[in-house]
Amino acid sequence: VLVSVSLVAAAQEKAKYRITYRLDYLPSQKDTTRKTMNWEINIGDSTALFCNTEARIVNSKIDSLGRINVDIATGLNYMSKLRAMYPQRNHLEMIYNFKTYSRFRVSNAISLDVFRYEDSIPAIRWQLAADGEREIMGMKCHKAEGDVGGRHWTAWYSEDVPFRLGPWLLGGLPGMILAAEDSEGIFRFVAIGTENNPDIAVDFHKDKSIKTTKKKYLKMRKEFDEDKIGYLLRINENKVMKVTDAKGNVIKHSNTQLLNYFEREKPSDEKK
Amino acid sequence: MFFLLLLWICCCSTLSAQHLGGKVASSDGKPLDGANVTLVSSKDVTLTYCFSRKDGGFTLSYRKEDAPQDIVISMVGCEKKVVPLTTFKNGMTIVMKEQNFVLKEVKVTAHRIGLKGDTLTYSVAGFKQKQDRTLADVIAKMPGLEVKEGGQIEYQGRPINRFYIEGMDLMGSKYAMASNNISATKVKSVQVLQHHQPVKMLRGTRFSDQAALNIVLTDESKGFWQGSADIGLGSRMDGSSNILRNCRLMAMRFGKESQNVSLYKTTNSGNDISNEVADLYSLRPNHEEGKWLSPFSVSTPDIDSQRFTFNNAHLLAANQLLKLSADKDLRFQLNGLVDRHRQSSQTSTQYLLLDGMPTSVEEQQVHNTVSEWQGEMTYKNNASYCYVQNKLKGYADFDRSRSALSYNGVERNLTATPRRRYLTEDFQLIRQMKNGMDMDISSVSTYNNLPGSLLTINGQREVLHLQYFGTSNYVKFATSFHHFLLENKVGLDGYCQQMSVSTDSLHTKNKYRLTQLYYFPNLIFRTGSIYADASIDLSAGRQYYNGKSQSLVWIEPSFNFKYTMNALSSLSLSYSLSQHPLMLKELFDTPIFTSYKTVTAHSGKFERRTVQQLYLHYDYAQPVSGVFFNLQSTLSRRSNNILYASSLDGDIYRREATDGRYTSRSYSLIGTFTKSFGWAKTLLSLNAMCSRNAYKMLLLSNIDNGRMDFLSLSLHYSLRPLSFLSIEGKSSLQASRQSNLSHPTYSAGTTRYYTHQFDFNFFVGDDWQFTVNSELYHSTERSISDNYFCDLLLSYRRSPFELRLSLRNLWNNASYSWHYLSNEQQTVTMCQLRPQELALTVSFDM
Repeated sequence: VLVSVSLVAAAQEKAKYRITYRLDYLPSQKDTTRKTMNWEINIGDSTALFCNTEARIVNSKIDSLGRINVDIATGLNYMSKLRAMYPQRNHLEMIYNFKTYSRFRVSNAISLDVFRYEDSIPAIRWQLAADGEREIMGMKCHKAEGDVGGRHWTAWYSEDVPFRLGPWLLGGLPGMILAAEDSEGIFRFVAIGTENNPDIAVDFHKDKSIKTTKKKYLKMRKEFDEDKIGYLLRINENKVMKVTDAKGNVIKHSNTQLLNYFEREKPSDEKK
Repeated sequence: MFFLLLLWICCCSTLSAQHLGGKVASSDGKPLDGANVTLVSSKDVTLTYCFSRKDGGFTLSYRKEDAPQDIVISMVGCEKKVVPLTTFKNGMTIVMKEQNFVLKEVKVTAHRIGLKGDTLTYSVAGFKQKQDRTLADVIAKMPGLEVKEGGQIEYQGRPINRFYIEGMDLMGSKYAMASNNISATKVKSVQVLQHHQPVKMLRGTRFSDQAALNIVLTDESKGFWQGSADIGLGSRMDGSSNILRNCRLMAMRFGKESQNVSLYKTTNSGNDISNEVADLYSLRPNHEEGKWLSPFSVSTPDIDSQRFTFNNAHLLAANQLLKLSADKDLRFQLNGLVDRHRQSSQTSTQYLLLDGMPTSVEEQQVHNTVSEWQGEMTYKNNASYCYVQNKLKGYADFDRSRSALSYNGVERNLTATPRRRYLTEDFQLIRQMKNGMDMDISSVSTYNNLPGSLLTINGQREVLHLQYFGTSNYVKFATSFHHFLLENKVGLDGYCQQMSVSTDSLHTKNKYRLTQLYYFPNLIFRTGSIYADASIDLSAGRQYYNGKSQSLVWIEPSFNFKYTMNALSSLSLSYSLSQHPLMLKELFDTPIFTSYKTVTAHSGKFERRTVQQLYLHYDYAQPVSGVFFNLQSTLSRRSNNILYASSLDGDIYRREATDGRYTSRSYSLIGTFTKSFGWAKTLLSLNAMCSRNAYKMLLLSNIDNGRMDFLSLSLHYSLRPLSFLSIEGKSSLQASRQSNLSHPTYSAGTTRYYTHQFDFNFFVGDDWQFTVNSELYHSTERSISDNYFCDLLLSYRRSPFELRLSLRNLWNNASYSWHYLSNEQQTVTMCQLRPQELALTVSFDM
């Protein structure tokens, strides 16, 4: 009981600092149009939460709606307005204990379900560069290069912010990573804001998620990306469900979408 | 061999890794886990790093030839420590001093527009450009919002229905005084309350298409008296001895219990300050009658009125709102305006409906004195179960007008006193009854007294006295079931109108009376995405005119439909048919002078004009990406229009009703697309408007088909591409064409006007601003020359003062000519412009 209580207490840690990154990225392997979205890392006494800013805003607005009495129609209308207003949402959330710096927890959605799993924080063998200094938000940053998640990353970290953290799994340098980009130019993070005492708990937004393993999660995500409609029909096979196009024709499968993820799939898993 | 071996040993010892080890501890001796330990070179390059372990221990490996200099230890919650390698010994414990860590905050450029429910919140800091001074300047740069020339604010093409300051309705419909005078620095954000229903107890059941604005002030601007003052003095550069002045004194207080905005303005620099006390919306019928006699006027060009207005104006206005309780408030508004202005022009008028299309030439110098005084007292109880409003409003003016006219070479001095006084009492009570029904009782009555006199072009004095009384009273019950709401309204309206005209040869009195009883059922249907209402106004009445009387019955149906297509766009459609009987203003058959040279007489017969109108509105708003679009289309059909016969009797233009009637049709399409960009706070707004009016006209005893076409395109832009440069501008094209379809030779043809305005603002540091304001007007009309204006402004700002030096009309343009086209006549006018002027203004903001 004591362990549970202490875990809950740790989960409810309040964030003391927030660093916001703008991510400039290429969403799909087929697409050449770049998009931007904001991500943030909320840092408490010992844990940090990495999440998408627009998803966090939408979730907090929907939560605040639940605290006042509004009728269902108004609520649904407001929710659809919010989703249209903040289209650059992503449900990925990651929590790490940066004191122990050994494991991290991930929460993410596939279709309408939210899953969570745990994994080890990768030890990145960073090569410090003697040159390539850069100033970000008025802070001097040093350059370092390393490999993680199947990509080669160049990062700029600042010793002025003495956390060994960064966006996504990029971390383990003697200062906060304020900018990072992969060698293919698919993802480019740059810090655009800092804030003291943001009013947020360092915890996942949805505590009722489905526990799974990384392997199973990646398998489901792959199935979903390869055939969204097929996946939906499969997981809802016990319900009467029919998907049709605008003309009323029944559709059973959808086209494969080749999305870019921070962690590149291993070459053996790559789609041909 | 021995030498080579020695060299190899030396090299190995030099290249082999060196190790440093130690411990990191807090000031009370506890080991610190996770501290960053870095080894830096003399060139401040990080050579290697590690993190202290659970026991505080650390180990660093390095190569000697890297020339390490210091060990740097840093950790959140501790002061950074630099230990020179010369003083460090292996196994040493480095003690860290505790220190709070605070991030140097950098604000993320937040979404400049936020949405919560139906409320859009525009951040003033996100849209304000450095040259903006007033709230209206910033609102004009907010996508979706538009500030019209008279100060009226529109959201997505529809005028706002309330202007709140901190949630209180202090200004009522005279909100231009607040938007034009409250400094933008005092405002934190502007909220647009979409679909705003001002009556609390009707929210959620009665739909409103219009939005309201709520001004959210900064914390420093609330709760105490504040003031601002401008003192501007200047001189004309044409040698005139007149001293120019442009002064303003303003006091305001925005508290929780009361609010006040009081203002005194005086100017003789051409600024039109009358807009600031104009009523910009009217939501309830009030029977306030406009003037029949108009002061002498010269037609004015579509350029900045400050360029051609020679005025001497004083404006005094006070607005006070007392919050009696959470829902109840009492508001007093008083204002007075005295404005003596003169305008000069030369006009050539061609009468399109007269045989041979004759032309008259007139040269006129007009001196008008406006002296108007208004007072209003409003009590409001806007509770969630009950709504009570009582408004008492009074207006009186003492206007005078005189004109020195040279008409077709003959000189005349004309005078007019077009005056207007009225008193309005407006009461409304809405409350919920025990059976769940809403009851709405309303009564609005206005007494108008319009005395006037006019010295006409033929030397006759006409005294025209009008007395109008109008009253509207109804009781309405509303009950709801499922998605429906049924309103049943029964009302009694009354109109009593009297006009007496005296000239040297004529003394007549015309009287008109109408009593109207009506029943107005309205059925409302509402779901999540659909709103629809349908109503029929069934009226019966009896009217009297100069001894004749008539009983009549008429029906006026209407419907509204709104479909919210998705979260970002909606479509609405409305239709109405009105066939209210014509009243005295459109009925009198005694020929009277309505201006110094126009005599008008209507038919004197009881009739109704039927107006059918179909209105379509589509809007799209994506506030986060700053895209707003709206499209409006109106189709209207007016039947039973009277055909007027026009004639020129000497110098007098006569318009007399004939027995002919016709139907006119008009179409209009208006679209606005606005997009704001984060880069350089850029705003682009594209407006397009086209309209067509098809009518009939009586020309040489024939009924000809006529058509007026109008097209307007404009592009507004503002951006600050460089820290020292900000650009604002507008370019527009206006084209109009009058066609006689039956006899094309009588068509007046097409005119096109182009207008370009651009301001370049240059900034040096935070204090200095230099502005070049340019305006270019050109036309396809050969008779009209191009006009280019340029003004310069130099400003020095150091809060709370500002010093402004302005030079207006740099090129000293003396006159401006333009062409105007209407159904009946086309005119070419040349008006005199203000000369080059230099002024110095000191502003204080307290």
